[in-house]
Amino acid sequence: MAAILCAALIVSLFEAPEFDDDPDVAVDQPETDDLYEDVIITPPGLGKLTTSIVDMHGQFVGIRCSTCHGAGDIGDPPAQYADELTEFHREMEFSHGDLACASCHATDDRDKLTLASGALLDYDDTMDLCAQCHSSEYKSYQHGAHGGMSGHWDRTQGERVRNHCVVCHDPHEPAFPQVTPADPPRDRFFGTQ
Amino acid sequence: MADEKEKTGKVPHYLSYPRFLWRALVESTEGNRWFYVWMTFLTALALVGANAWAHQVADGMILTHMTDHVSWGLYIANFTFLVGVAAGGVMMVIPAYLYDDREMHDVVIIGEILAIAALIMALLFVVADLGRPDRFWHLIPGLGEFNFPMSMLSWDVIVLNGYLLLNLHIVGYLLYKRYRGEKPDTRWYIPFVFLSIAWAISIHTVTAFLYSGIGGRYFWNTAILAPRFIASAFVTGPVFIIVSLQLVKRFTKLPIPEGPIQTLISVVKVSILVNLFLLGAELFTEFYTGGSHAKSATYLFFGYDGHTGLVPWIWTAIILTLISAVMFLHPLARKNFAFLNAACILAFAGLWIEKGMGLIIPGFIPSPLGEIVEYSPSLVEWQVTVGVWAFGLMIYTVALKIAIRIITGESNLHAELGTTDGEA
Amino acid sequence: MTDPTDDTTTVEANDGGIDRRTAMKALGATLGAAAFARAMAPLRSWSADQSMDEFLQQHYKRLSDEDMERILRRLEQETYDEYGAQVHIDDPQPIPGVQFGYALNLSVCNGCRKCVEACHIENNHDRSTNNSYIRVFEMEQGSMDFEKGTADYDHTVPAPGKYYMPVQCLQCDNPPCVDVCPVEATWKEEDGVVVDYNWCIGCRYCQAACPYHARRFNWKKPEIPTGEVNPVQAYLANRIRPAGVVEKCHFCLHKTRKGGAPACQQACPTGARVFGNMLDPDSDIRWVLENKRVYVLKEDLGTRPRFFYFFD
Repeated sequence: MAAILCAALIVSLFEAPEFDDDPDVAVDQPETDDLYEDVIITPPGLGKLTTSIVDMHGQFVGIRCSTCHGAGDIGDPPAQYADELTEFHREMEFSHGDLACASCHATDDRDKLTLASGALLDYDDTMDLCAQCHSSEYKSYQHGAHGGMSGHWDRTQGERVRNHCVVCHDPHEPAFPQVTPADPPRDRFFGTQ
Repeated sequence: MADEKEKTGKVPHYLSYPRFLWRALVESTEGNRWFYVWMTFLTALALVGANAWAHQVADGMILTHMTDHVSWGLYIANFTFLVGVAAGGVMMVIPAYLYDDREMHDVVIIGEILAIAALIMALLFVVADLGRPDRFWHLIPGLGEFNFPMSMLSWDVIVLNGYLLLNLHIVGYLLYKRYRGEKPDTRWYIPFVFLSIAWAISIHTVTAFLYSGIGGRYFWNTAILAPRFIASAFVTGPVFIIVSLQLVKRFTKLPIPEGPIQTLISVVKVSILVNLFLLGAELFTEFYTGGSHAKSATYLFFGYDGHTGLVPWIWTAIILTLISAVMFLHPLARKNFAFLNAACILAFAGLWIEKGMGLIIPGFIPSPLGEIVEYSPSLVEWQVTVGVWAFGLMIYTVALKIAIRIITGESNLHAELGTTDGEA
Repeated sequence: MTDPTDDTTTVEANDGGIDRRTAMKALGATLGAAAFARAMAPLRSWSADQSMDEFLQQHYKRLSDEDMERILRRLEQETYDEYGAQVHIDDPQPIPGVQFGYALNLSVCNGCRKCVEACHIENNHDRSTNNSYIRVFEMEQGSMDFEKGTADYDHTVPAPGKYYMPVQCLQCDNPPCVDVCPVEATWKEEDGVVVDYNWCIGCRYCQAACPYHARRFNWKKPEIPTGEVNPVQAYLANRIRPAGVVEKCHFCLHKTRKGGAPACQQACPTGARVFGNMLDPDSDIRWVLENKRVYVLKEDLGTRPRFFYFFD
C-alpha cells in the first residue's frame, strides 16, 4: 500500500497542479510537452505461457494463465516453491531469492500479479512489482543509470528508448546469464599471454 | 677573368659566390680512388634506405614493426641520439671560443660540420617516422598551423632548424671568406658562434623535454632526463670528433695538432662518468621505490612478465659504456690511438643503445594500460636507418672535404682566377 | 687527399674541354640519378592516388563553408572510388550549451564486448585488425591495477572473480594529446576532443602523450568490404580514415551532435553506459555524477576526463 501511496504522491508531484496564476512562471518551466516521450520496450506475451504450438504465422502460441488456472484452479493448495512442483512449469528455472510463487502471482486472479500490499497489478506494470524490492535499481532506472538506453539522449530531437525490467531479467531467474564475448582485439604482436 | 686580375680582393660577391658554390660541387665530386669507393658505398646504402622509405610511404607504416602500443621505434631512437651528437659538437666550440684555445680554433669547423650532418640525419629520421610526410608543410610556421609554444615538438622544429641554420651560416661564412682569401669579419660570425653554444644545449634539452613532459609515461617523466641527454651528448659528439680528427690527419693535408684531441679526451672522461652517475641516480630512484613507476625499467633491465626483448640491448650498452669509461680513465687513452679509438667506438655504440632503443622503447612498455607488446625493428626500419646514416656520412665526408680543401688553401679564388694570394 | 692526381682538379676547372674524369663523373651522376629514381619508384603509384586538392587543403578552422562543402563531396567521391560505397559525409557542429559526458557502471558491465563490436562497425574500422576505439579489460576483483588485467580474454563472461573495465577516449578537459600535437590537428571543441584526419601528419606524439591508450594509428589503409561501410558519416568522426593518420573515439559525434546515442551505449546489453549533456541539470549523466560515487582514470595526472566510472 505504501508503495502505491508513494507512487501516487510522486505522480501527483509530476502532474503539475494548476496553481500558476502568473503566466511568467509557466514560461520559465521547461516545455516538457516538446520533449519526446520515453519509449519502453516491453516484451510481447507478458502474462502468457509460451507453448510449443506454432500458429499460422510461425509464432509460438502463448496461452493466458487463466486458461489452465481457471475458476476451478489447479493445484490446491498451490505450490509454495518451485521445487514442490510435480507437473507443469518444471522446465523453468527458478532462482530468485526466497520468493514463493505467490509473492508475485496473484492466487485469486491468475492473469494478474500482486504487490506486497495485496493490490492486483497488470502484467504490463511489472516494473512496479520489481521496484518493491529493487528500489535502488528502480531509482537508477528512472534516471537512466540502469536498464540501458538507445535512441536519443536529447529528447528534443527524438525519443529515448528504454528497456522494461523483464527484457534483460527473467523474473524467475533474474541473474544476467553468462555470455560469449565478441572477438578480442587483434593488434599486431599482441596477445601472447 | 683577365680584367679582374689586379684587384682580386674586390671580386664582387655575385661573381665569387656562385664560383664558391661551384667549387664546392667540384670538390664534392673529386677525389682519389678511396674517396670514390667510400662515396659509392655510402650511395648504395643510402639508395637502399631511400627505396625502403618509398615502400613505407606507399604501403603504409605497417611495414615497420611499430604498433599502437609501441608507437615510436628505431627512427625516433636514432633521432634522439643524433640530436645529442649534433649538440656534442659544441664541445669543440666552447674551448675554441670561450677558452680561446688556438689549436682547437683551427679545427673547430669539424665540430660544426658534424652538427650539420647530425642534424640533417635527425631531421630525416623525423621525416621517416611521419605517417604523412606529404603533409610536412603543415609544420612550417606561417604556412601550416604551428602549435607553438604548447607543443614541445614545435619547439624542437624551431631549435633543430635554427641550430642547423646557425651552423650552416657559421661554416658557410668562414669558408667563403677563406675562399676569397679574406679575413672573416668577427661581427658576422662571433655573435652566431656564441648563440650556437647556448643553442646547442637547447636542442638536446628541448628533445629531452619532448619525453620528460609526458606525464603518462613514468619512464620518461623525470627531471634529470635533460641533464642525462646533455651528459651523453658530450660523450657521443666528442668521441665521433676524436676519431674524425685522426681520419682527417691521415687522409688530408690539414694539420691536426695534438691539443684538441687531448682536450676532447678530457671532456669525454668527465662526461661519460657524469652520464653513468645520472643513470645510476635514475635507476636507484626507480628500483628502490618500485611500484608501477619502475615497471618500464624492470622490463628494460630484467624483463617483465616473461618479456625480455630489451634486456640484451641494455646490458650490452651498460657493458660497452663501462668498459669505455675505464679505458678513457686509463693513461693509455692519451697515448695509444688504437686504444683511444676502441674506447671511442665502444662509447658511441653503448650510448647509441642507451639513448636510443634503451630510452624510447621502454617508455612504451608496459603501455599506460599495463599491456605488454614488445618491439623489434623490421627490415624496412633497419634499411631506412642505415640509409639515413649513410646519407649523413656522405654529407659529413663531402662537407669536411670541401672545408679542408679551402682551409688548407688548396682551393681558393685567387688560384682559380690566377691572381696573387692576398690571404693573411 | 694526398693523391697527386688531385692536381687535375684545377686543370679541369679552368679547362672547358671534356676529359676522361669529367666523362666518368657525368656517367656516375647519370647512373646515380637513375638509381635514385628507381629506388623512389614506389612513390609514383602512391602519389598517383593523392589529390592535389587534398594536399593543399587548409586547416579545418580556416575552411569556409564552401571549402568544406567541396571537401565533403570530394571525400564522398573518394570513398566511392576506393570502397565502392555511396556514403553521405557531413560536418555537424557542437550544439551550443552541450558538453558530452559519459559514465560507465562497472557493477553491471559483463565484459561482453558488444560495445567494442558496435564501435568497430559504426566507425568504419579496419576489418583485418578488428580495430575499435574501445578496449575492455578483464580486471581482478579487488584490484584497479591494469597490469593484472587482460584485454584479450576469450571465454564466457563474466568470469568468477573478475570485473570488466571498458576504456576508450576519455575526452579529457585538459587533454595532453592536444597539447603535444605540433600542427593542431587535434583540438578540443565544446563537447569533446576531435581529430582532423586531413591535417594530421602522423607523428604519433599524441599516442605517446595519451595516458589511456585511447589513440590509434592507421598503419595502413583500412580494409572494409563495400557492403559493410557505414554510409552515415561525418568529417571529424567516422568517415574512413586515410593511411598514416591518428584517430580516436569521438563519442560518435556524427550521431550525438544530432541528439542520438553513441553506438557503444546503444549496443550495451547490460545498460552499463550513461551518456548525456553534462551542462543539463536534468540529464541522466548529471544524476549519475551527483548521486553515484564516480571516479576517473588516473585522476592524479590532471587530465580531467569527461568519462566516469562508478560502482552501484
